[in-house]
Amino acid sequence: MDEFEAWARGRTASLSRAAYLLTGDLQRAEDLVQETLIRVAGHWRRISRSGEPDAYARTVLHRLAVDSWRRQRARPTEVSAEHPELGVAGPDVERRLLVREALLRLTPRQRAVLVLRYLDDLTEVQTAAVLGCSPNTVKSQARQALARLRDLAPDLLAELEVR
Amino acid sequence: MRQTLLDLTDDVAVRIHVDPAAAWARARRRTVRRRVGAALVAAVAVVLVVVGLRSLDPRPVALDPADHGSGGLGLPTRLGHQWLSHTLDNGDRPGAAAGLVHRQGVGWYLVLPSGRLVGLLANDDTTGEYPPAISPDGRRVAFMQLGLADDASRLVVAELDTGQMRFLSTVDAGRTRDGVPTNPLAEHRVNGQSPMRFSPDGSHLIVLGGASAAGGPEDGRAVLIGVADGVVTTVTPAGSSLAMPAGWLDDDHLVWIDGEQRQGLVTDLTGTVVQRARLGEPSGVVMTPTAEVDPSDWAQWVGPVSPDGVTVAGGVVPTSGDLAQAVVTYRIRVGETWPGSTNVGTSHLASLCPLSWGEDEMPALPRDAPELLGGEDMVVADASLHIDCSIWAGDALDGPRHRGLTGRLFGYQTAWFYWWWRELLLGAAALAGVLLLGRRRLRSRV
Repeated sequence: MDEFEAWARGRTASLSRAAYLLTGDLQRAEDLVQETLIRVAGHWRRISRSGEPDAYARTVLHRLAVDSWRRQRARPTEVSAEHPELGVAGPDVERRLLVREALLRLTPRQRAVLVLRYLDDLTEVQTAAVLGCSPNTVKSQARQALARLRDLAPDLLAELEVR
Repeated sequence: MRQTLLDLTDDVAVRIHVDPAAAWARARRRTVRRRVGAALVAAVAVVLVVVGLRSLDPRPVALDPADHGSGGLGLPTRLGHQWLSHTLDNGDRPGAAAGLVHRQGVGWYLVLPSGRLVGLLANDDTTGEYPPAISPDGRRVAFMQLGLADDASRLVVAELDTGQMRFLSTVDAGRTRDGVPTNPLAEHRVNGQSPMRFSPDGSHLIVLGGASAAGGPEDGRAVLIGVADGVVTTVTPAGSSLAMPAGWLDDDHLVWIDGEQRQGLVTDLTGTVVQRARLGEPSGVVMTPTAEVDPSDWAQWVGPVSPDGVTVAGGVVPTSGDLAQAVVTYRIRVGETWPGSTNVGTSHLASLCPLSWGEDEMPALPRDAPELLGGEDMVVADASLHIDCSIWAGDALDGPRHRGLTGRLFGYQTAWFYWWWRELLLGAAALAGVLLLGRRRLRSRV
């Protein structure tokens, strides 16, 4: 348990960032991370022996997010209009809001590809393994996601390039 | 792009609070629940597989013969639908049977003490016109085999313990084609719609029949058949025109009821009268206000004699008034009068379905399925079997009950789902498996 707790505390920040980008909501991101930790704890003995708890947690997080999206399609949930995590006022806040809105207008899969490729810095092959699709699909989804972001926020995201 | 995403989530990490210790504890609880659930599912699956395999047991005749001497022969509690039907064949040794049942439109079946049904060769007797007979010890059955080549028929006596089957071609159902007997070997015939009865020791069989097919259907008389030697004779009480005895008094004597003359007779197997008595007026239960018991309405071939040779029972079906039926008994004793009593008024007494009698005071009444026997001897049957007649071995009526798993679980419940509980459980388990598999596949997709 101590080993798990140490790992969890070290990974909470990155998991929280990914969860927030996937859900767009603090509360739902927190629930997603907590559930991910529960799933990881349930198989801790095995995955700690394999030496890849990070990869397992990442896969669980994205698959739980998929489950969450499917449930939302069937039963939409209320999302808070307040976003204190983005700051109180100022140009940075407006920029963050704009990026957040643009991200939320992507498809769930496009969002997941962006998070894995650009936040977690995974390769196309690693991203494909997490999402259970082909590397070509990852490549095309990333290209489409970036193109759509440029359309939605051309001034702020003009510097983005497809890697 | 990475910098943009990091900037967007800069404050997120400090605003999200998770509890690794709580996650660990929750995971432990889930693991315990999952393991307990898996153990339960495994236990249920094992039970279902065992029960299913027992239901599908393709060896219905491989049962150990019942121990007649220790009273092992008994009644089943329930007769359920059969997944695999087996027909008794020459050499099969199912052991002593509890009784016989007729499935409407299907044919006659042996009932083993476990409740398993084994078809007789005479399965084409779909109307139940030729009721078979079972010896009191349940080890021997006799039945008419119909549907042979050219519509021929013959009498069959099967030894259930040894598997030996005797085919008596000299006795048939008396069928003809264009006026020519279909069985040229037949010397005697058995009339339809008449019961056959084994003597208490099972050595003789008495049937209602005649000399041969050529004798005509009106030539009805008691035909005595020696099981061991196949010798066939006819029996008529001296000085009487009675056609069929009410039953066996013992291995060497027959009891006859003459309702018209209001007298009872005891003869030996040659028809010599050894006792003649007047029938007393039946007393006891009055069937209905409009239907008095009249001994002249005695359906003498319906009833047997009690195993102790004290009481003879018969069905009385009044020809006037209410259509109620009754079981009338006469106490057979050395004297001038046999006291009579009306014991049961019932509408269940089937005219083609003979009474069965164990050691109890009253004979077992065959009733409409799903309740085949009344009172403490109740045997219930799945209505989908369409059983319309049951005949029971005397020793089975006196033996222990064979309840089986379903009997222990549900007793005498007859609603449809009590007969299909194994299938319902299997279906539920299969559905749960499909749902579980679907959920896992759903989760594995992104």
